[in-house]
Amino acid sequence: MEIQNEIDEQFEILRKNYPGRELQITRLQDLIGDIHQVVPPSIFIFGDSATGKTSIVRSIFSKYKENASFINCIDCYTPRLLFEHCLNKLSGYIPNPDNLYSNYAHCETISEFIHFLTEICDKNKNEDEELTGRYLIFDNAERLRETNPLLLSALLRVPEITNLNITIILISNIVWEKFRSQTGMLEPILLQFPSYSKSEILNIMIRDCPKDENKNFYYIFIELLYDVFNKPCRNLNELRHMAMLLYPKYIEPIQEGKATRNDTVKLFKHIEIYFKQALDKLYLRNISSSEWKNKSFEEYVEPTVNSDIRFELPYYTKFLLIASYLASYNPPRYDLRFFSKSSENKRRKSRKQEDVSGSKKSQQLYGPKVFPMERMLAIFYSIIDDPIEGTIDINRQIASLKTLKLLIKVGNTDVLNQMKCKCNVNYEFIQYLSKSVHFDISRYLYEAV
Amino acid sequence: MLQDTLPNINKKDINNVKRIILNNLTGKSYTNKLIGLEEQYNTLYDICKKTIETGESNSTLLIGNRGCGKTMIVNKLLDNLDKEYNKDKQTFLTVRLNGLIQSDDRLALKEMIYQLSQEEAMENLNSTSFSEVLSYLLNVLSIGTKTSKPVIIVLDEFDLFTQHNKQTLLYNLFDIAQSNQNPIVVIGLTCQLNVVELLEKRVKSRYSHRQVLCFPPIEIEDFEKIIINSLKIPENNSKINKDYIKKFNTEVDKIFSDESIKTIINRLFDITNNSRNFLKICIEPIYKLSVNQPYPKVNDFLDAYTRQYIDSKTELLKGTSILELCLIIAMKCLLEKHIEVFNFEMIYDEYKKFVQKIEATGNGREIFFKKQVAMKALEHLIAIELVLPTEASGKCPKEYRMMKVLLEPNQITQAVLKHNECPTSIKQWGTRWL
Amino acid sequence: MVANSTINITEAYDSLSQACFILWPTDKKKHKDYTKNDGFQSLMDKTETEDFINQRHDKYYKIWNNIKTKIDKLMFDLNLSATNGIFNFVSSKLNNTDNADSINKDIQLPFKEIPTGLIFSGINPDDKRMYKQIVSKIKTVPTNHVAVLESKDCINLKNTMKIIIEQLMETNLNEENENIIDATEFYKKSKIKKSNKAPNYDPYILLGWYKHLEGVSKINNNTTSPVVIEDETKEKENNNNDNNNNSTNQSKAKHKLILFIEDFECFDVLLLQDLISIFSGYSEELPIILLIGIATSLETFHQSLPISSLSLLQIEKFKLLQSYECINEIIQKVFIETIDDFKLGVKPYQYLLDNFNFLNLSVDSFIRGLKFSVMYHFYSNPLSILSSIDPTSSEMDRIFSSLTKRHLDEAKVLTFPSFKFYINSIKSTSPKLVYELLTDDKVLKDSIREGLINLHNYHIKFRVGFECLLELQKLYQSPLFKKSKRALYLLSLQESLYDSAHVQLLIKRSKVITYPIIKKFLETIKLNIEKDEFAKKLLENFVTILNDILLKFEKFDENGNEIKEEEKKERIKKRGKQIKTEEVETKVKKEEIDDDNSYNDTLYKREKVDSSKENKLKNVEEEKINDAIIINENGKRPQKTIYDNVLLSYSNSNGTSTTQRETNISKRLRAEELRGYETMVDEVNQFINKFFKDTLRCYKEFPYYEIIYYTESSKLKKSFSAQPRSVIHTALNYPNHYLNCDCCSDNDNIIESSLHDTCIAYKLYLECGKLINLYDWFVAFGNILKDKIDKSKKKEKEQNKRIKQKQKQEAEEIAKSKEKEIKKKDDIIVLDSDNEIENVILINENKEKGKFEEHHSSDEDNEEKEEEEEEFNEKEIQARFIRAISELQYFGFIKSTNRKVDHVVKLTWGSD
Repeated sequence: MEIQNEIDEQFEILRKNYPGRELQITRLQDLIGDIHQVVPPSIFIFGDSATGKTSIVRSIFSKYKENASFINCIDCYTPRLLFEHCLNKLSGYIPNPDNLYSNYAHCETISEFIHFLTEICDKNKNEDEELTGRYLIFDNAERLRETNPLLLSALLRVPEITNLNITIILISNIVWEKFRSQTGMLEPILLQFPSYSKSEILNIMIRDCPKDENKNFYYIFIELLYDVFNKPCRNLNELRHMAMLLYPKYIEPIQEGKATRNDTVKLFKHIEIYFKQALDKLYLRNISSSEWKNKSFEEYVEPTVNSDIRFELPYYTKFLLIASYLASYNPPRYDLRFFSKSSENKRRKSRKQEDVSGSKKSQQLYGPKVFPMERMLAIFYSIIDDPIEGTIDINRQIASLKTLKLLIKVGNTDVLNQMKCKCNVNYEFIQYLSKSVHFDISRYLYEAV
Repeated sequence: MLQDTLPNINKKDINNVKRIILNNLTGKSYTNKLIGLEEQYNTLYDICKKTIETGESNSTLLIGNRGCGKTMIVNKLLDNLDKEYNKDKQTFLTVRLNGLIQSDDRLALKEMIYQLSQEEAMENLNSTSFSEVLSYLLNVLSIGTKTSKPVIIVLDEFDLFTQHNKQTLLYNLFDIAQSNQNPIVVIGLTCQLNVVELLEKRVKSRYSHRQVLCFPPIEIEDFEKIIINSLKIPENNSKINKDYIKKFNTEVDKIFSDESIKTIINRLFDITNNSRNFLKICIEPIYKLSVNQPYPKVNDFLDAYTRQYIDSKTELLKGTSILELCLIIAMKCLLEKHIEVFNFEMIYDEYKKFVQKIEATGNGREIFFKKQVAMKALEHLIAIELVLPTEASGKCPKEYRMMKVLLEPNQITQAVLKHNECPTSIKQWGTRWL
Repeated sequence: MVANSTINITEAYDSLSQACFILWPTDKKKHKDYTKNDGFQSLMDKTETEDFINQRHDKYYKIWNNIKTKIDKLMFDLNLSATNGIFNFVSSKLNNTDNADSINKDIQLPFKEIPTGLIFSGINPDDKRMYKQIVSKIKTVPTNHVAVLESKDCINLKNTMKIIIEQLMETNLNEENENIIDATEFYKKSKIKKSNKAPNYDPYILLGWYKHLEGVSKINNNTTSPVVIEDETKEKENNNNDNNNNSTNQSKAKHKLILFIEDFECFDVLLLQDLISIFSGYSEELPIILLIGIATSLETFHQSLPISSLSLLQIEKFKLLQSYECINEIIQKVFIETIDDFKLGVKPYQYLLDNFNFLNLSVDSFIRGLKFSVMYHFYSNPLSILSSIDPTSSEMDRIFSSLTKRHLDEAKVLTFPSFKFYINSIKSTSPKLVYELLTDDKVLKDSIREGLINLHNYHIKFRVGFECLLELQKLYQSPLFKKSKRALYLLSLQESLYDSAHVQLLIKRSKVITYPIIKKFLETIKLNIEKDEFAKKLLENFVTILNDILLKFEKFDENGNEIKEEEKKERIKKRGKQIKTEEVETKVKKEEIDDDNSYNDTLYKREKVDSSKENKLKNVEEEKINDAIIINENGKRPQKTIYDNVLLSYSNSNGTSTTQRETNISKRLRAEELRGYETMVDEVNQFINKFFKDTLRCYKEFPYYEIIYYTESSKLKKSFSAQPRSVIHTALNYPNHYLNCDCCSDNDNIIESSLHDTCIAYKLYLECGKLINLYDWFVAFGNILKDKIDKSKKKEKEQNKRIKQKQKQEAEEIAKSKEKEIKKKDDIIVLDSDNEIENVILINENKEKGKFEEHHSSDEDNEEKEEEEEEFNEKEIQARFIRAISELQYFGFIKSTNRKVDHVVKLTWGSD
């Protein structure tokens, strides 16, 4: 019985710790709060990422001892792992050197799984025949669909087939419709974790407020932060992440004695630039949290754009890449115009008709086209000035471009001269390349970007 | 006021009530009587009876839609047969296989061995062919005498067994049944009406074409009856306080006389006559029962209904950020241009156009973001599967990865309208052309 | 009849297709000879004696080994800093016990970030070495457990995980038998009996293992106090790395698991995503650190991973040394700093360098090329025994005395270019010597010895000169005046470095460097010279000059200043203060230059042209010129204007235009002012000129350099930049090029039976389209061979003629029957693609055979004998055909297809 008490406490605590989730928590308690009650066959918990699904459920079942098994379907990437981890959890079995890293049992199929499940439940059934619930929780349940289509519906059947007091709880951030498969899918009880509202978000974020800090002051800060960032992203974790990293910058002036807590305007002015940077760099993880911390003000201001994209390539390799870019983005019928050495003036003309009518989408938008190797080489030899013969080195370079995923091979034909590729680099990089070899790419592009 | 009319409701009663009803709802118990399935039951019963008593083999299929009570019948059947013949677990044996679980014949056979608890007997088996193993298994059952024990074999999700390689299991079972080697009954449950076509020639020929069809309630009354029935507590239950039971059942009746509930029932019945759909709704209210609220409430049913039958996609969209919303609307625009499959660049292009348009009004700036940021937003949309890539990743720069949106244009407009924090300009953009 | 004949064929076919025959060289001794000295052979028409061969052979190994060791050491040192950086990163992370990121102790981030080191190695394919170095460095700490992942063995998550687990635990989990237990077993086995060993890809194993590990270490040493770690980490971040410090604190630190992903680009992205999310899930229990080797750029990293998984990483970036630097250092070490060692001539050097710049930034391939040239030098050059030892040493005497006459004759021929040059240069001055050289070996010997000594000294001087040149380069900011070592060395090989435009430019510019700097420069020169005593000896005259220049500097400095001070006071007051300082001079010069603009333009154009040409090949930075300071005494030294113009033109091209112009008067005045200084400058300049002229000469100026320098590049080209396509084509199409036999011509139109089977098959192959019907091929092949065979028995009885006709008919028969074959090939059993081809043949063949028999039996008079002949021929042809096509298959010309059973697909370019 003492487990039951712990559980009840836990629910209370959770209600306190998760503002904006009281409703969901209560409903969960109704459904699974009483461990000695008949449990519902299956529950499907869904909602956008960072709405507290996992963390709440996890912390609830942390109290259920061995009656619950919390499985993350990402690290159980084969059914066998899935089953064996479940069994381990339910039987409190942990692989370690002493038992030679063995699991509770060797279990590859669902039917075996059912046997062991019953085995376990019978084993530690408490003597006074009072039934206790068993809970199998699967986080990232969407992964279950990948392994084999029947697995999920089979799992949902487990309670019915075993006729044990078991419930299957699925957690996912995609909607149930996407789970329905053709055969015998039992409909679970849906339980949605809706996205937080602004006030809720702020209520949660205020909890990160440093102890020594005045709540209202911090509130001003996070509200500002929210207003800046909520447009691109309302993901709570992201916002908190930002707050964590930006707050120190925010109070810098205060620490330096340049400002007091009251002159908000000044602080806003000061933090503005950081916000800008944060959106560009931090949010996109161009600079990681640690790097962000050890940065001086100047570094935030100076735009560190291209440093990300550049790296050295051999001289001819650069041209190979440029050639394949051209081959990918130019329609073949224009090759003659662009690459025949004779027609200088034609090139000029061709650049006139870059702009495409608004109605039909510009070809650039459709991305790289597939091109045959021969064509690319032809372009290569025409754009490279000094004559070189096709030695093995060129082929080797093409190969290494492929391994670097700068070229992508399409289809798998062994026929050597039919190899088809796609160019996998963006315009920015090509520009940088062609600049480095004094090649005016724009003169050869059908549509200037 | 209820409390003092019935002072003596204690937690135990509540729990018992919950337990009973929930068992009904989740189909764990088969105590309560069948509705509209009586003769199906009887036919099956007769078949089994024959087998058990006279040892004549047989095979039949029980066909009917999901949730129309096939399993229920079988459960009840086996239950009763047990009560009648199997006091000592000697007269006959049962094997229950499920197509979802026993995903191939080897497993199925193994499972049979297990359920017939013949594993040790198998140790001195020296044959590999499926049929031999099977017949060996069945022969083991014959204890000395000629007459071997009758076996009732229930195959749930029968159609899945037909997908097994060469249908070996089915072939052998039917063969045994037909050639009457050992007394067995094969009962296949399925919801596929054409299941017989799925059988191979040789298998079909051995199958006695006996079929039992069961139908979901045609009349709304029956539908309702089933539901109410499973929500009521049998009067004869000794454990629970009599008056409470009485009161409870009347309460239940009261609820179902309520108009709003009736409408729900009607609506669901129109969608599908599968009673599970409603029972699903009942579960939550029942769980809500407690000492100070011993009777289900209409409202509980109502909002349980709304919860279970929302359009979760639009719900999901409500939570998205402005940028994400913009992207979705951009996709809608593309759809309206009859571009079904598109990539990020195209979406972003639309988005940019829009922003430039409203630049004039001045509020363009704060909703415009650079490509990478938008890309991240899009990735989120993909993660929650509102957008589905149509080509594998890494085949081209991810800006150019083709994808399609899994929302109807009107769903999108709905979402835009529902979305709070959404600026008017975007609202207009999203609801254009309606 | 039919039956057994077919049987015979199958047998024949079997034996022939399955056996393969190797013909060992019959003469055992000969065979041994080849392998001796790795095939170093006796040169000079085999007159060279064993002893010399051995000498060359041993020298080769000696030289190569010490070059190799040099390079390895170099590479190690070069990467040291990066390695340590990474090492410190690893050891600084997760040192505090509980929470995942030690730096963020102040604030808890919502994301469980895995500390990740991105290692940018550049795209050179030889980063393996560096990785090894890093890993071994990390492993020096006992509590670091490293798992190195390579894309090639990480096909799916399953075995990736397996590899990780095995490597971290340093055990290999024995592959539990996944193979399916046979049916009976399957039914018998009761589940409990099954071994419940965890699958060897189960992350839980790792978990259990780690818990255990920590438990153990807990017992051994009670946990560290967070404070200690604090300052440790501090130290680490300040990149201080003395190993004992590390090791001490490591012993206290907790165990770490490091995953080293070597080649990020090649990994399956989805796999990595899963891996990351899995380990971030475990990050409480397992302190994981990721190290990811990236060849390309951060951009690519962002491209391939979705941000959802990027946000789980806490990235720090490390740059390994790029191959450019490496190559520079290698050249410095191997070519410049060595005196009596192997050297590359201009051609091979250029070849290697171009390969490096243009084709693969791979240091390894450069080294490979180098090795080859060393090898070949000693392999091919009998005089190489003279190279790479101190010519003054007694060792040398020995060798010299041992030299045979033949050697000396060889010397004349071998060193012909330089020898001739030498002769010509002296024949006017001392014809006698010339005569003796050509006739008297003694004299020749001495002169060779002398030549070697000169080279020796030249190298010493060159080293000094080169270093000074680098020093000189350092004095300028503008990239225009900087050339990489490798480029400079190339110049020095092409011509006398001193004459090169670049160096001239540098020297010119040296005039306008302010005293203190130039003074320092001169001092460094002095230092460089005095560094080693040989150089000192050789260059002492320069040292003396230097010394008194420096002295002068002292004096001049003072009074020079005085003068200027006064003049300035009197004459121009406004700009007085800065007069001595560079800027002023700068302006002056610029203005003067401006005057000349008009007539310089022409020159400028020419300059521009070739400068740009060379720039293109050199690295590109040199293009962008920023000349704040273009100076020289333009007006006063008209004869030297060229270089000024270059500068000028550059300055113009950048559009640096000066605002204010000056009156002639003021110009003249300043001229006066400067004269004092100028004389000084001239002196310095002359010195520098002389110095470099003497030191930076070209090796070609020295006679007999061929002995030391390897000048041949064709061999390198041949063996390193092969052109497989054309080579194979010629080999198969015109075998006589290689076999140089006279039996067959280069004629493309007819296929001669004298050709090798494979060639015949290939020639036929060229005529076919995409899909080749094997049977047609076989028939055509057969026909060609047949008339050969027939030729052989030309002079047999007329009976044979009949046979020939028959064969002809058969050929037609075959041809006709073929179509039917195609139609009804239902009886052809498709076997696995390897022997499919043969099978098809076989089957067709058998039918064919059947036909023959009927045909024959219908024929009356000629009997057994012929048939045997027949069969024999048929069998033989078939065997040879099969061998031929299987060879082609092996070359990758053809491949069996499922679309048409008795066809093969053509895999290569059409007929070319």
